[in-house]
Amino acid sequence: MVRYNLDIAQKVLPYFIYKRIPVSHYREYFTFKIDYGFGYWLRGVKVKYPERVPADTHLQPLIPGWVYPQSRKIKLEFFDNANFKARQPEPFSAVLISSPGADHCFTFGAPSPVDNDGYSINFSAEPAAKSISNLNFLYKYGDIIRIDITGQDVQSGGFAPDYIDMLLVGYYVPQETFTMYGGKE
Amino acid sequence: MIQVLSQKLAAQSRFQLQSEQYSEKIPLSDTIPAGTTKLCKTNVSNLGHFLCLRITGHFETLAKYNVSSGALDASGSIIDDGISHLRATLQDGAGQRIMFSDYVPLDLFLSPGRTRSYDAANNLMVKTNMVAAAAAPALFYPDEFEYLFTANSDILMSIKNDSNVDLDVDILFHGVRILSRRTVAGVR
Repeated sequence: MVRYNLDIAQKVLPYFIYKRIPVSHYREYFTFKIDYGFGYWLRGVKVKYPERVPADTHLQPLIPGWVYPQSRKIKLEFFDNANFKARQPEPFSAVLISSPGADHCFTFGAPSPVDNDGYSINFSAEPAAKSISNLNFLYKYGDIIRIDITGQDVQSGGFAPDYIDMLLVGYYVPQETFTMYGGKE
Repeated sequence: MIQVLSQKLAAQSRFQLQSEQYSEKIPLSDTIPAGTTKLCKTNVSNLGHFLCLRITGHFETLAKYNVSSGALDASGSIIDDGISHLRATLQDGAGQRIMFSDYVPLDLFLSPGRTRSYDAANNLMVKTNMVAAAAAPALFYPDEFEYLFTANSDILMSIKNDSNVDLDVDILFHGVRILSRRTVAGVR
C-alpha cells in the first residue's frame, strides 16, 4: 500500500490517440498535431493490421483467395519532429513493441448504415492485450507526433494490408507557464 | 505495480491509511443496441474522489449471418464472429473533457477483450467462408489509465455498435478512493 498524493494527478491527463491509416505505399505516416498548450507523454503504442496477402499456394488458405502468413514485417520509426530526427537508430518491428495483428484478423464489411469512416472494415476482436507501456517519449508543446510506417510483405514485396489501426496510449502534459496552470503567461 | 514484499508490514499505519484511501473498482456495464450509438455512464458517487489507475473490460462480438452464404443477414443466425463491432470514446463528466481523439475499437484498449456470449446459439460455428472465432482470451493485463475523477462526477463512455445484434459491454475502472480531507484539500 502506498499513499497517493493527488498533486501528481492534477495536471497530467490521459489521452488516447487513435487513427486508422489506409496504406497504399511502402512508407506511410501516422501524424497527430498536439493541442496548443500541451505536450504529450507517449507511454505505449498498439498496432493492429490484417495479416492477409493475395493468394499464395504455399500456405493454407483460410478464406478463398487469401492466405495468412505467420507474421508481417511492418516496422515503425518514431520521429522527433521538433528536432527533426528519428528517436531510434533504425525502424523496428511493430510486433516488438505491440501485440501484432493476430492471425484471426480478417476484414468484413460493417452493416449499413454504420461504418462511419467508410472503409467497410472491421477488425478481429482478438485483443491487443499483451501490450505493456514500454515507451517513454515526451513530445514538446504543440508538437506533431510522427511515426513512419514501413515494411515489406513476404509474398509480394509490397504492402498487403490496406489499413492499419494505431492507438497511442499516453498523457497530455499541460504547459505550466500558462496562467490557467499557475504560470505567468 | 506495488511490490508487496519490499515494504514493511505495519498494521496500525496500514489501517490508518485504509481509513483515508482504499482500493476500489467502479464498473460500467451496458447493452448497446444494434446499429446505434449509446452514451453509457457510471457515477463516482460522493464518497470521495476516485483516482483511476487502470482499466479493464470485455465485450461481445456477435452478428447475424446467413449461414449458407456467409453474408451479414438481419434475419439470420446469431454467430460469434470474433470481430470487433464496438468503438468508444471516454469522457470525464465533470469537465466534459474527451480523453480519446476518436472512437477507438474496444479491442485496442480493453483486456481481456472479447468474451463468449450465451446469446450465440451456434457459438464458434465454422461458416462457409470464414474461420471460427477464436476462444475468448483469458489474459488479464490491465491497461494504464491514470486520471483523477472528482467526487460525484460521471464517467461517460459513448459507444458505437455497428453489428446487427445488441451487444453487451462491461468495463471496470481500477483505482483508489480518496476519503481523507487532508489529501483531498485543495484539489479542484
